[in-house]
Formats: sequence, structure tokens, C-alpha cells
Amino acid sequence: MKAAGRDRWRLVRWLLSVGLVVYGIFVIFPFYWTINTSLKPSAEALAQPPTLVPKDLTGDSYSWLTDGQALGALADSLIVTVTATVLAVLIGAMAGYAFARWPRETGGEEVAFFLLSTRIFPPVAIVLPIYFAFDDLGLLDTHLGLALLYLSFGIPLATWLMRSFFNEVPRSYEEAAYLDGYGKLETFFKVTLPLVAPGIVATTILTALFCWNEFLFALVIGGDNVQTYTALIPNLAVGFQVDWARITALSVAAMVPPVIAVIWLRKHLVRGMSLGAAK
Amino acid sequence: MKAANGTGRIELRDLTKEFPGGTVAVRDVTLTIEPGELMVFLGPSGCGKTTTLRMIAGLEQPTSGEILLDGVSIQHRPPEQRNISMVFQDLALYPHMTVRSNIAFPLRARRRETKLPAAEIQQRVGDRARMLGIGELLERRVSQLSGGQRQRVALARALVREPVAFLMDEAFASLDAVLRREFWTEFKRFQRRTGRLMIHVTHDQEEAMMMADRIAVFSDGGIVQVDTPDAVFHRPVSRYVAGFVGSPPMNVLPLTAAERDGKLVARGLGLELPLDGDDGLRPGDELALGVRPQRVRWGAARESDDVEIPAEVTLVESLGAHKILSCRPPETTAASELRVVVDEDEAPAEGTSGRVCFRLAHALLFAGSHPTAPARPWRHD
Amino acid sequence: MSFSLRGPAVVPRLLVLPAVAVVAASVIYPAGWSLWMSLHSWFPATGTEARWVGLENYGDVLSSNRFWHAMKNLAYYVVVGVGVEMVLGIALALALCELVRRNWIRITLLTLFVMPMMLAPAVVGDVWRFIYQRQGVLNHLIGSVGLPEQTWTSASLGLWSVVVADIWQWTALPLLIVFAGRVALPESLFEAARLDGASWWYRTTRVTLPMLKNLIIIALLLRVMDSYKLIDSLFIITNQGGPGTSNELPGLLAYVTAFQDFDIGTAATVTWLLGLIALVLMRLFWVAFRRRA
Repeated sequence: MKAAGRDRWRLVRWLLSVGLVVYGIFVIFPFYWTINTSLKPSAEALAQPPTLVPKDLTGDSYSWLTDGQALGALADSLIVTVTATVLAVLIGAMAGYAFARWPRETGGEEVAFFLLSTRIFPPVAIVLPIYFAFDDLGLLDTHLGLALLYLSFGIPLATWLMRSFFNEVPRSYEEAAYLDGYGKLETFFKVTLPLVAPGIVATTILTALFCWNEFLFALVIGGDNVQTYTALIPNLAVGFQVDWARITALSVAAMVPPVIAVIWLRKHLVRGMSLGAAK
Repeated sequence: MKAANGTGRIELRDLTKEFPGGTVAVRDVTLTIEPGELMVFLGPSGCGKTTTLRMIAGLEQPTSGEILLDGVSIQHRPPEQRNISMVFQDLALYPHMTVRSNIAFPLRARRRETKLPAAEIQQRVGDRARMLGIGELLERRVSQLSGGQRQRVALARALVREPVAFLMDEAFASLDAVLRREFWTEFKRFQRRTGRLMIHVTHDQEEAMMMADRIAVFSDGGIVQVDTPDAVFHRPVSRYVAGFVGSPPMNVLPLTAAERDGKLVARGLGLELPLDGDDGLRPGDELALGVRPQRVRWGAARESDDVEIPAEVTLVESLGAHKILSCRPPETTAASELRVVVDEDEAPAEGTSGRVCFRLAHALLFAGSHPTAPARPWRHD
Repeated sequence: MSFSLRGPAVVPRLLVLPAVAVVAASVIYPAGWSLWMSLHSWFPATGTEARWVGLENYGDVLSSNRFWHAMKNLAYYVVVGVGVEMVLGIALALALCELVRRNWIRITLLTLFVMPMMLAPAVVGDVWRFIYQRQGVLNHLIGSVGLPEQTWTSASLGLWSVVVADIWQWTALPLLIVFAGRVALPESLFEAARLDGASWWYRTTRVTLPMLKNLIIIALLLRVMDSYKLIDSLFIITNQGGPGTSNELPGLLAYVTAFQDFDIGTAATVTWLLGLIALVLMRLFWVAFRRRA
């Protein structure tokens, strides 16, 4: 009986370790496969049976990326992302600071709840009326229009995160500065801002990530003039002779910013993904 | 699975623990703890006492050596199967459960093997709770209790299973000073009543002196002395032990060996004291004399073997019924001050010059200046 | 204090104003518009004006097979997909925490597991669509061990293929949250449980999981909220819900109705219904969140 207990524990441990490894392989494989395919010549990408390692290693698809459509798409994504992120973090930081330091005057939990609501609304519900509104306003198929629309999720996210970060800067730091004779504005720039700087970086990266990855808004609001890489993908993937080598190359190029972001932001991941509910 | 609820003797043989990275936390510790004994592991932080305790509990694996419970090797058994319980420094009470569930936890966890009926579990829980004076708190949540109450819950939980041995890792550290002293006494009485082997780890020498049947003094991963509190106090085995135990700390007078008429003497502070016995000392060697502040008097020599030193009182500290004098011999620094414990009526004022004296029979000889220097009574009587 | 001119409340309210304004515009305006439009019938492609039809759209939608088929798909997707993500995520988090002791291995594995979450769902759709190709690598691997090859994007399997891709991407969310929570628990609790004689199973079910209950609920609600907005990978893997409408989810149904059929009235109705569900879930989330705080 004593031995059985120990053996059962060892079996479970073994199973779980195997599980971890299996899951690891499950996670890695699609990445591997995508990169693998992007390095094949277009013909080999469609070959039957598929080759697990490229027979002819080539960067053809990557050079395709640098001319024309794909590059334009990546550039469009970049422009919209940067615009939306800068605006979102600015407005969000302001609001986040106000929520953190003056919870009662800013409506307390109810307004925060209101801000949270946009995470829950399906993008379809938002984009439909906006489509027509932008049509009337002339904002369809413009970088500015899409960036403004991105604020609908960017601002709540940035506000929520910044509020959480500002809450971690104890008021006593600011109060000490007041006692030393600094004015409120000066205190904000000299004391609070440096302390919250890592939080601003994390918020910026996370907001940019969501903008970079967005699909539906870009598909609907975009057009010939503004085509983000996410909107480009369905266009490339239709028809019979799909050039998978090129699509995977585009996917890999698109994956680079998020992957860098994860590695950079390891510590803030939980907070960002759970809206600060868990740290 | 349960060790025969026999005598409950724990033996440690050459126990060693080396951590990856090279740190040797415990080095060749050998010790026997008798059934029903309250043993205290005493030492500063990092000396290996907690690691040793955790090895006994099974939370750390020894690198080499043996742990025996009633003659049976247990160092390979997981903690679940050692029938030993432990109270942790942070008490480790389950915050999401009531007091009752906390205390019942060990019984319920092993229910499949022991087949204890629920009614009996409740009864045992109730008994233990009443024994520790928390009978009315059973339905409360742990977060609603005070520090002292939580302490009792932790003790109740550790005892409900009737373990063969009972370990405590600085378990009173989180209590305030008054409560701690109450607990020392209460706990000692309690241990006598249940008659179980208990090992308590602490860095507080007063706690160790008050509670222990025997104290194991640890230093640098090893045990330097295992003795009753009295023996550790009066006959410390080394300068380290002498300095560690006792409050205020022992006075240490540095001296040098010299020769006079073919015999060895110890010189310093204007004194020349006879050295009898063979300690391997040669003229020129450093040694020291130790004498407890409680054994030093303010005043002139009275007995034939009194040692007298002129001194000036630089500081008087009051402890109510008695006072502690810091006395400085002439032409010395604060480092050579002697502390003297006197009754409050006999205490001189600060700045007074006079003499301190003590009997050589009460002094210790430290044969060297290193903490590991062996200690013995000055006179071989 | 220099801001006391018109009362202390001015500055904070000013700071908050732009944020609240944008959010109001992006929530209240669409909500109102959708409600209004759902009571009309409008086909902009024909150039005619919107026509009032009252609750007729609701009647049509709620009695349409297509709608309920999409809702059924949604139910499967949420229950199975999110269910697997939760169980898998929790199991892996505990395994990572209790079995893997070297910190650098933990962080490496965590970073790896979290990568899929960071990708654009559209890219994930793309990647998996390629894997699911009839002549693709999945069929190749399956064939080489003797199992029959499948059409992974068919009417019967399409939804599950999307579910697998979703599991691949999002299991890391409950994993991260539970891992962070478990790591924050004091180790002495578990050591005490071991000394009390509790087996691994007993410890996990009576100590670990109850203490992580709140975090698990939060993870669950986050995933449910996110999952029912799913469109991106579904769009790409099944080519807009195909074959036909067999693999549609309500969100995609609304999109197709609006931007392919140009039936705005019906589309607005569907989005409004979805929005209502959102409101209910939001209240649930808020209650759970409040209780934890």
C-alpha cells in the first residue's frame, strides 16, 4: 500500500511531464511548419508529399515581400498601428491617472466598468454602423479612419493598464514631493512619470500588439488605399493555385513584432491579458 | 505506513546536506534525541539548524547520512509517510477553510488508509481544540483570529494525528514579546503532558534556555555542543557557545600566556593569573578569560581566589530589580568593558571609580582567540 | 493646490473626458444605430431607403435555421473549446509549477507556450488553414501512421478544426493566470499538507484548486467573452463559414449578411442580439470580479 501510493504519484508525474513535452511540440510545430514552408521555393511548398525539411532552401518568398503588395500591406499596418497606439496611450494614460488618483470624482467603479464593456462587444456590432458613418464622413479606406476606429479597443485597454500601473505608485511619493515644495504638474513629470515609465512601455507594446493583429476592422474599413497585412491574407489565400510559400513568408514577417514583444514583456503578460485582474 | 507508535527515538547519523552550487548547509551531524524529550536546535541564521529540521521532516533530501526513527531508516520516505508533524514559521494555515477543517485536515487526508469514521474525526478535532483552549473558535475562519489563536490552531492541527515526533521551525517568531513568553511556559507544560518527542528550532537563546530539556548548539553546519541548558550555560564547550548563550553576554578578557618561574601564567589588564592543566599553550599564545556578568561583583576582593580589577562605571542600564553596569578598566577601550549585574540598591552611579571582582572558580578559560577555541573552567577542581 | 479654481473635480474629469467620449462613441452609437436599424429593412445595394418593419426582423432571425445552427455551433465551440482550454491550461500550469523546478526552464517554456497568444488570429487562421489542406502536412502525418486522411474544412469537421486552432492559440491564457496565481501561494502551505499526509491528488483538489478558484473563474470568463467574438480564424480556415453556411458562428453570420448579402436590417438584428448576450456576460464578469476584490 505504501508502495502503491508512491508508484501512483510517480505515474502521474511522468504523465504530466510527458504532457508538457507533447504540448510543447504541439505549440512549436505550426511555427516550425510555417517558417519551413516560407523557405521553400513556391513549387516545393505545394509538393506531394510535403517535405519536412526544405530540399532547396531559398529566400525567394522573402524577396517577394520587399516589392509591392506585401510591403505596402506591412507598411499600412505599421502606419495605422503607430498612429492608433500613440493616441491610445496618450489618452489612456491621462484617463488612467485620473482614475487612479481621483476614483471618487471620476465615477469610481461604474465608469471603469463602462470602459471594460468594449472588450466584450463583438467587433461586428461596432464595425457595421461605423462603416456607414465613415462613408458619410469620408473616412473610409483612410489610415486616419482606421486608426480612430482602433481607439475603440485601444483606449479602454490603455486606460485599464495605466490605471493599474499608476495605482502601484504610492501616493506617498507624490505627497513627499508636495511637502518639498513641488507643484502638482512638476511632481507629475519629475516623480510620477519616471516611476511609471516601465508601465508605459508595457502598455504601449501591448496596445500596439492588439492593433497590429487586428483583422475585421481592417477588412471592412480598408480598401485599395489602406490594406493591412491581416486584410491581405484572405486575398492571397483564395483560388486554386495558392502560393503558400509567399503567404507563409508574410505570416513570418508579421509574427516578428509579436514574438519580440513577448520576449521583451515576459513579466507583464499576465497583467495585460487578464486586464489587470491578476498580476 | 505508520511507524509502530513506539518509543519515538530519532537518530541522526553523519547527516550532510550540500546544495547545488557548493554550499554545505549541514555537515556530518550526529545526534540522538530521546523519546519524550524537548530538544532545541539553537544557532544564528544560516547555521544549518533549519535545514537539519527539514531533513528530519523529509522536505529536504540529505546528500549523505541516515535518519532513523525507532531504529528504522526513514531518510528515503516522503514526508507524507513519516508520521512526523511540523509547525511552520508562518503557521501555514489554510486560509480558505474554517478552524475545524484546518485541524481535521490531517485526519481527512489519510482517511482512505485509516478508515476513520467522520464522527470520530470530529471528536478528535474537538478534543484537541479544547485542550488548546480554542474550543469555541472551531467555526471561525482563520483570517478572523488573532496571532495567539492562530498559533494554537497550528498546534492543534499538528497534534491531531498523534504523530511520533513534533517539529517546530521558529514557530513563535510571529508573536509579540509578551505572548511569546507565555507560550514558552505553556508549551513546555503541554509537551510534558503529551510526552512526545519535540524538536524546536530557534535563534533566541532565551527561548532555548527556557524550553529545552537539551539544547543542540549549531554553528556553520555542525553541532558544537549538546547538553542541558544548565550545562550549556555553566560549562560551555567553546568560546562560541559561551558567547551565544546567556544574557547579558559573557564577559571576555583577552590575555596572553607567559612564563613565570617555569610555570605558565596568563597576563593582561594588570593581572597575572595561574594556568594549571595542559591546554597546549605556550608563552606568547593568545587566550581569554570568560566570566558571566552575574558572577561579577562591584566592590573589593573578599575571598582568597578573587580576581580584582580597578574600573570606572561608564554606563548603568536599568532592568527594574537589578542593573547592568558597564565597567571600564583604566587605559582600555570600550571593547574591554566588563558588564556586571548588581541589585538596584547596590548600584553605583555612572562615573564612579572603584573595583570589580569575581572568583576564579567561576571563570572559564578559552584556550585561544578563535570562536572554536575550547573552553574549560579556569580551575581544574 | 493650484487646481482649486472651480472645484477639485474639474481636472480629473477633463483628463478622463477624451477616453470616455471615444468609448461612448464606439459603444453607444453602434448600439443605438443597430437597434434602430434592426427595426428596419434596408438593402443599400438597391438604392432604396430603409423601411420600417418593426419586430419583423427579430421574428425572422429567431425563427431561421441558419441562425440557430450558428448558435449551436457557438455553443459547441464555447463548451468544448473553452472547456479544453481551461482543463489543459490548469493542468499544464500546475505541472509547470510543481514538476519543473529550474527557473530558467519554466520561463523558457512559458514564453514558448505564450507565443501563439501573441499572433494575429488571422495569421493563426492562415497557418492552420495551410496545415489543414487536403494535401497538407496534417494529412501526410496521419496517413503515415495508417489513419485515413480527412477533409478538415468540411461541413462536419470544419468547426472542430477551428476549435483546435483556437485551443492552440488560447490555452496559454488560463495557463498563465493559474501559473501566476499558484506561484504566488506560499510554499509552506503545501509542505504542511505533505506532512499532514495528503497525497498529491488530495493536495491539489483540497488546497491548490480552492485557493485558485477566483483566478480560475476570471480566466474562464475572459475566455468565454473572447471566444464568442471569434471571427478571424474562422473566416480564414473555413473560407467565411463554408462550405455554404455549415460552419458559421453568429458573428460571421452577421458579417456575411451585411457585407455580402447587403441585408443591413437583418445584420443589425443579429448584432444586437449578440450585443445583448455581451451585456449579460459582462454583468456576470463584473460580479465575479467584485467578489474577488
